[in-house]
Amino acid sequence: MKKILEIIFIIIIPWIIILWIVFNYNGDKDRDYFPSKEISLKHDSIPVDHSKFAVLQQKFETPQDMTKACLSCHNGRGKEFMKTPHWKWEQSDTIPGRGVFNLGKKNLLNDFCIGVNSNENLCSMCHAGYGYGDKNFDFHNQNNIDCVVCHDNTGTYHKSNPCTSSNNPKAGLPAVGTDLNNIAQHVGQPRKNNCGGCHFVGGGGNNVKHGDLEMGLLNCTRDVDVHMASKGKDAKNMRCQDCHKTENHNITGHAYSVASSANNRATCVECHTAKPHKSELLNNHFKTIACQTCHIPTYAKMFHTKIIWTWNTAAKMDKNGKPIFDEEIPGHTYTYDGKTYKDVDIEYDSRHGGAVFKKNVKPEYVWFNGTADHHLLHDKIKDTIHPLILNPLFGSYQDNVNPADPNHPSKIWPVKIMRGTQPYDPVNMLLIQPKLASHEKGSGALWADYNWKVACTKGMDYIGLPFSGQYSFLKTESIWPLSHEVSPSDKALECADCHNATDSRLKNLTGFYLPGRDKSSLLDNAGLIFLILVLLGVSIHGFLRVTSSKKKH
Amino acid sequence: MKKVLIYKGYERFWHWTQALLILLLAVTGFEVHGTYTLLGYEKAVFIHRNLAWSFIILIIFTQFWNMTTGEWRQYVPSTKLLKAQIRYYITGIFSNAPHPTRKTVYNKFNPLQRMTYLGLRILIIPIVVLSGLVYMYYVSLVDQSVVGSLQPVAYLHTFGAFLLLGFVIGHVYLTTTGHRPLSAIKAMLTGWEEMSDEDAELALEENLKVALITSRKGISGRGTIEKEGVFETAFDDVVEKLGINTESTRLREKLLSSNVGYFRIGKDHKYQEVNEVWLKLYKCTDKKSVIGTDVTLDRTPEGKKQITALVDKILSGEIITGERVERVCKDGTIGYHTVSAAPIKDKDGNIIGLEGFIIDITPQVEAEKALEKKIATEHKSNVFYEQIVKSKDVGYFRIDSQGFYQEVNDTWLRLYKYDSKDEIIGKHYSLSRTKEDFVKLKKSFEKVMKGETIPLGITRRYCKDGSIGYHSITMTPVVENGKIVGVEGYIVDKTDRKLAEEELKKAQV
Repeated sequence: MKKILEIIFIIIIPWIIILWIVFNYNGDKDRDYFPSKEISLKHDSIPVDHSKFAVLQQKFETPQDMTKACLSCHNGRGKEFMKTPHWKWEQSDTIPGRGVFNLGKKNLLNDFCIGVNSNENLCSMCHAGYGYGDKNFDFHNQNNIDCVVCHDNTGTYHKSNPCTSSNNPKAGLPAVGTDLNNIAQHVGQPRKNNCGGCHFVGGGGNNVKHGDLEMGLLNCTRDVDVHMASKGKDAKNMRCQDCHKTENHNITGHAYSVASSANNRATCVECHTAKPHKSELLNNHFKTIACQTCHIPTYAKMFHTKIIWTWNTAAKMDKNGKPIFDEEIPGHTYTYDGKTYKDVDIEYDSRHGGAVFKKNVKPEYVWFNGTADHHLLHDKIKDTIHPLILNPLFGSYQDNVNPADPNHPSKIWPVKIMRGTQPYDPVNMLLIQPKLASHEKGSGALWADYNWKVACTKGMDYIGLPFSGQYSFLKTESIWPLSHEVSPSDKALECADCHNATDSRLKNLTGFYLPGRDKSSLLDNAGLIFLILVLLGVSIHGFLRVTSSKKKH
Repeated sequence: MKKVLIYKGYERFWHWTQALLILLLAVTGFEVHGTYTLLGYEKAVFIHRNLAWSFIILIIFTQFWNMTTGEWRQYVPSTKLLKAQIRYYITGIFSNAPHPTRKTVYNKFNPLQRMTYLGLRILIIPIVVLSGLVYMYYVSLVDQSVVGSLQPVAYLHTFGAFLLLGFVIGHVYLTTTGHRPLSAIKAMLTGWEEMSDEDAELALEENLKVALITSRKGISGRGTIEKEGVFETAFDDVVEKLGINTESTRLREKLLSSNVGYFRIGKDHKYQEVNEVWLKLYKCTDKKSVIGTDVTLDRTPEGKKQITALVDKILSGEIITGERVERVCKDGTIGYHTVSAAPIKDKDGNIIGLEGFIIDITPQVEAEKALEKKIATEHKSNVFYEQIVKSKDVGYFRIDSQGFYQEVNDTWLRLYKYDSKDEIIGKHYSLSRTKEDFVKLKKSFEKVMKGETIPLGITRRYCKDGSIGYHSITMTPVVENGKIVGVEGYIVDKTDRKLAEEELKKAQV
């Protein structure tokens, strides 16, 4: 009895106490590393009722008249706005290791609609100006600024799409029938639909381009985007400029399809600080991992985004020799460049070629230090076998562990990688800017005449670069760091999503040791063999003992 | 088959807690390593971390315990019998050869175990713990450029884990090589190990030896035993056996036939049993005249109170060790002894009496008292000298200012193995020491000649026949007409104790 009591006191009770503590206490989360300060949002109120201003009562014949009226009070704003990339479609930026360039939509190629040049009449639907129809546009005339595309609060302002009808105005002019007076009398700070009118539909449709910016964000729950949610519980209904802080029309935030340097970014830490978690262990992750990596587990949550675009299949006609428009291809599996994509939607259009869309996409992950390179118009193609990356992001594990430039330590970022083929000149080894957009037969535009050679010749001639007359198609990729569609904390990635030996999200990032994912098979096998040998040894020893003692008796 | 106490409470707590922690650390650790999925990565990480801290705290506590109790000695490696032990596991075990080493509470580990545990303590556990700490604080350490890549840290940690697991397998298997397959595990659970009669007897004897040595060592103190780690706990264990366990009959027999006085007292404070040694110490001849008398009978008035309090204390369940008490002998003289006693319980655990043993310390106490008195008063009466000179236990000597012996008493002669005073009087004191020890004594002598009184503690003496003895010594100056003219001193023999200690040390190694 005493012995049993002793065993209970000396062994069992300590075991129970230790097990209880060990399984329940989480010092990391129980302690408070969290700055308890609430994140507060400040919205400036606009007390001015624009409908009362006499200057806005006049009948506006042209949109430029309206802009003139705006600038008559908001003097100086025109000069200010004309410095911004929303107007210039380029900005002076530094590519690390290469120098300073004026880069932007104006002069960079992408793997969606390839490029603006020679297609301005259509592209400038998203230019904050009027009349940007060709390269001769006067970027110094402030009356051509489109103020209301951003500041319209009625929701009725739309730019004309020249492709839907040949009668439509071109080059970023308002759609026919727009009530400019009503709009001018109801202006204010930009709303989500103002920004989204362009940024949600980049690439020619809802969510085609970014993947994390879609029309659905105008009316979504926290599950889609904790910041922009406007319905359901706890909807913060934040505006774009709450994060993309703006002063003097300089809007913070970078799209690395056109930007190169790390300045003027809009970041999570501005509000959330660099230590936003209660858990120190999680806060420590910020050293190597961007917030977005865990908090954007999937993107394109409401509407699919384009992930593959094969220009090489464009300009093919149906049996009757007629172009095919927006044809859905049956099947939800697509193989491209040796990789199979599941649960995708496939479309074909003679104007664009094949397109592959996917909803609820798991991001891919790269090291990224906030700077990027770009394949410039005149850059020679050096490799035609591997995909050409149009905007290689800088960053690596080494760059983080031992930052050569402490301002640019790399973190693991979630990205959308857009893949596709696009035309290039195999003689001059240049990417080709083709002329694509026009309704007029004989204009030489691909979408009118379906002739690649002519489209390429016209486009290259327009930008003043040589074209050999030969064209081929090159695999290219562009990388789009994700920052939108942040999920609620309970939907963020779990530890095992990355710390996982079989299916780690970071399985493509190598060169560093990730606990749970990495191991030395040599060490593990040696250890296993060692344990087996020990087991075998004691088994044999035990067996011999049993048999020898039987012999004795 | 007998049972012998091998593991103390703390050791059992520590061992099983450590076993639990190591197993759970392995389970969660290999999940974090990515070998399998069981609890989920996040849970595995935080439990692994809690386990790690528990393990570190346990290690610190145990090292502290090992240091303070002297148990660290158990881990001092020894190559003695190492080969024999290895040979036993390779061949002897199959032919039912006897274990080459014996397990006792003072020497739990065989030489192979000592080596293995030492390796575990200074190599494997530090590897795992240190690499684990670096792993845990990697992010901060990498900021300070203390470590570069996590990979080698993780590999080292995994490497250590494999070694530790290998040890666990071997360790668990070797527990089955005891007297019976489950003997060792039962011992680790209850503290008591099953042994063959022969092994048990030897183990008990060893335990007893250590206990007696310990109690003797305590005599030089002031009534209570000096708390000195292994000695003190050894003593407790023997006392525990005396009172609590039926397994200790053999020990009681040993005590009854030893030179230690044994007694048993009932709940009514009356003697139930004493042995011959006890009778001799109390100068009684007849056992019958003692049995049934009250324990207060043979005490001084103050002693009565003290003994009654002691007996009550033990009857309330406490164990006393090395308590110094006075006794009044049959012939009226006063004696001193240390007593260690523990309650006796019946099957249901009710206290029905107490038993214990006494070791006589009268000569030492008398000598100490006399010296204390003399040193306190600085008054050297004739009575004192007479006492000292006659004393059978205290050696007396006087040396003149030049270092030549002027006077010694019979006890001094006996301790130094001289036949008569003539052999030493007029000789220099350097004769009393070996060459190495002489310098020390010379320094002390010079100090006393300047007027100091020095209790020197235990020193070595060089006897006439060349043998070495040990005694405690006190020296004071001899003053005549205000001038220091010589040195006188008193020695009490401690040879038994010193030899016993050394024997113990040998046994420990």
